Amino acid sequence: MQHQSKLQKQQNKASDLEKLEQEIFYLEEEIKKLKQANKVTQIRIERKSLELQKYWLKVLGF
Amino acid sequence: MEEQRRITNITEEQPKDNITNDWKQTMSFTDLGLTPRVSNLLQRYGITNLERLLHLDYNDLRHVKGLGIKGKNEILMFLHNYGYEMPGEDSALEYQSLVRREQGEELLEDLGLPQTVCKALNRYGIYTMDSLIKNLSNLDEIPNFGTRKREIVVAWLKDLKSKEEDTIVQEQNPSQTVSSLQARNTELQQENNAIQQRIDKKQILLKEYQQLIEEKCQLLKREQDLDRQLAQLRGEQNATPKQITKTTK
Repeated sequence: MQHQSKLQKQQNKASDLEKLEQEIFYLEEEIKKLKQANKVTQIRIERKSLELQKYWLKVLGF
Repeated sequence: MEEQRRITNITEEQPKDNITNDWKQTMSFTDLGLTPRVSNLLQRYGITNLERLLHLDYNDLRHVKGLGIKGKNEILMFLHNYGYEMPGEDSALEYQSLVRREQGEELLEDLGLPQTVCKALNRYGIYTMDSLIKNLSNLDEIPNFGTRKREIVVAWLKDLKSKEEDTIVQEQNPSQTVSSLQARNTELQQENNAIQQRIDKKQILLKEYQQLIEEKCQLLKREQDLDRQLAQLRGEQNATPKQITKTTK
């Protein structure tokens, strides 16, 4: 019985390590996507800010 | 002297029941199974038949000259064969155990064999491991030593043997055991360190993920503001240009 639980513990440890590795991989992927998405949003924001600036310059007669 | 007189008195007693006790009076000890030596020793003390022997207790036997532990045990076994027990024999068995222990013998009860089994064996003169092993094939002959007691003895011997083997292995390879334990300990430590490193990395990534989510929310909010302003301005543009110039001035 003792031997079995020792074996089980070893197996659980191995599966815990695997789980951790998977979670780390998933997090890294998600972080990459988020960074990409934020970059795209930033570019859109800059474009819209420029548009707004152009409008105000037009309005002010520049 | 008093004991001697008592024995003489016993020899002069007449049995009460002549019919049922006949064989106990008439048959000689040798006919009933006692060795000639022990039979002669008892007869010298006036104990000529079973009937008279049954009047004695174990203490009386010490007055029988030439009768040692072996002889006494023989008498006890002889009586047990006929279904009799001698008064005081239990204390005698304990005394004999004590004597043997003092002589340096390792008794079966000291080795862990249950008391009930030990007593049955002691009555047969078996006190030590050596005598037990010599008599293993004769255990069937011991009165009141049934299957259960024999199973207990066999199981106990097997258990002792396996414990001895374990001790021998450990004694032969103590350094190997220690070094293998140390190696295993190091392995486990390394495994635990690897797991801890993974956990720490996961924590760092989670924090980074959270920060990026907050950043995304802020960016989306900023974009929404810009969209609102642009929409407002586009709406005003759709209105007449004159109106717009008026407001700006």
